[in-house]
Amino acid sequence: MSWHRRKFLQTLAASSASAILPAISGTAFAASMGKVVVIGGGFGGATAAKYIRMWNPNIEVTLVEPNTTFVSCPISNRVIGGTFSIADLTRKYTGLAAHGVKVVHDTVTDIDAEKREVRLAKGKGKLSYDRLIVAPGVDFMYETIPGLTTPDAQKKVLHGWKAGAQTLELRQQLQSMKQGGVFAMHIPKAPYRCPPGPYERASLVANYLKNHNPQAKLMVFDANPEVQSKKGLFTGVWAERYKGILEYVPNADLKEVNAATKEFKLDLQGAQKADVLNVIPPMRAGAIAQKAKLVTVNDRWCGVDFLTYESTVAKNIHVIGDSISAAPGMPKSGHMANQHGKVCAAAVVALMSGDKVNDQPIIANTCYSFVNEAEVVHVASVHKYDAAKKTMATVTGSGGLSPAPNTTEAYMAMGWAYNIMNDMLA
Amino acid sequence: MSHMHRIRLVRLTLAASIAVISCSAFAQSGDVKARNWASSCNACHGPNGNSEGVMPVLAGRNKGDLAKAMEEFRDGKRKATVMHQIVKGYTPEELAAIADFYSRQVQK
Repeated sequence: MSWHRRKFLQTLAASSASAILPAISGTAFAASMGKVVVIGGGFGGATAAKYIRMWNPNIEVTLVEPNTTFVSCPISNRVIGGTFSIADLTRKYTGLAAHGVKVVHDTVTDIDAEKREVRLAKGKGKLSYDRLIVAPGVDFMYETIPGLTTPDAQKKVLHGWKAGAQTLELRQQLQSMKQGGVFAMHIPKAPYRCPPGPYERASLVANYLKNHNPQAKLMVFDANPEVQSKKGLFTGVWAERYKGILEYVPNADLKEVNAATKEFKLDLQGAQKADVLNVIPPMRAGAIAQKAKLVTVNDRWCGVDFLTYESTVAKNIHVIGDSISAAPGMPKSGHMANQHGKVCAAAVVALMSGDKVNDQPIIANTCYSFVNEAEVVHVASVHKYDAAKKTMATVTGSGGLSPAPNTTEAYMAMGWAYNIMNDMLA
Repeated sequence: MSHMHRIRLVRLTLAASIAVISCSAFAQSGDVKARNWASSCNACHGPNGNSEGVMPVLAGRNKGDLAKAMEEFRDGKRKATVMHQIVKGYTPEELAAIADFYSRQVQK
């Protein structure tokens, strides 16, 4: 090698090193590109928090979540049916620290959109943000059910629709029900969290009764005119396996609940007495979304721009998960919330970096339901952005159902549960 | 340090610099869209395609193999429980971009 060539290489190396050093220090030591606060550490919020940090570690992310552990609602009907442990559906938030997400176990009481800050309940402190992601899930509209407005009545008549203590208590109520007793459920009018969830629960309660309390009955009162998801699959299973145990009653509007006498008053069907009552109340966007006036649809849900999940009424505030007013065909599900979280994270990263927002988001939903301890059915769909209508649309020809309940998909369902919890929290 | 050693060091530095440059250039240029699309699949297939369940690991797989598997799902030539329904939501170009993204992820 000639001296000239050596010199040339040295010069080149020095210049590229100097070009690279700022880039390296930019990553490791650069000033923050801004702050994001995420309210709610469920499938949507935790996913968004993690992915923002994965995709741009220069953005500071704080996740505010009151609970110290995450408990998955999906699969929790198996806990009620007695074929799974809630411990296996419970995860800590500590994995998010490895991604640089700061987790604060507190509740946001107020959002000041002008000052771009949120107020915390316990710490009494404030957190400032450049962009805020609101993912509070759903709140129950107890005020719409006479007899179920007091905390005492709500303690007796459980929803079991937010996994945790109530999941175990409902399991206990089912187990302690007298032989030959009646378990009565009520399903609210759609939209509600997890469209197939009530029918999966009915199947798993019926499966428990079949094995442990065969003289007992399960009454499923549905405010809807028909089964809302996987209809043929569920009704097929019920007719074939749970005949004489499970009775499905559509168009059953709930007018009143008597928690003391354990009675439903239904619009058309009249009074129905039972030994265990399980009411899944009507739902709307979580309290903080209502308080911050992000609710724009039917007094219940938050309108969003589907490219960014930014609220249609508040700048720099994004809403994801069950709180949003979804496009047709997009269920309120943990899987969907996870997908919103990623589209929102990508948009927030792009907006805070001055890049173009992806104008072709693609999201998918896969939802598994158990029909007994070993067999599962699924529904799946793929959704793309329709620029003309400014909404998400189900891709024609995509998605579908299982042909029949099968054991292969039980393994898929459990694999899904572990992988999605890793995707959001590990 | 001898001349030879110095030259080798310069070469190594240069190679490393080029590697860094091409890496970051790629991340910026391109495939943010593929990254976003693939992130949807992580829900079932685990973080960046590192599955712990029965769903296959996608991270670090040959992109040709991944693209071929998608085609076979679409055409009903490969047995599936749900993938034959999912792939029908994507164009061949989208599937190729996703396959390319996963082929470049580290298998853990």
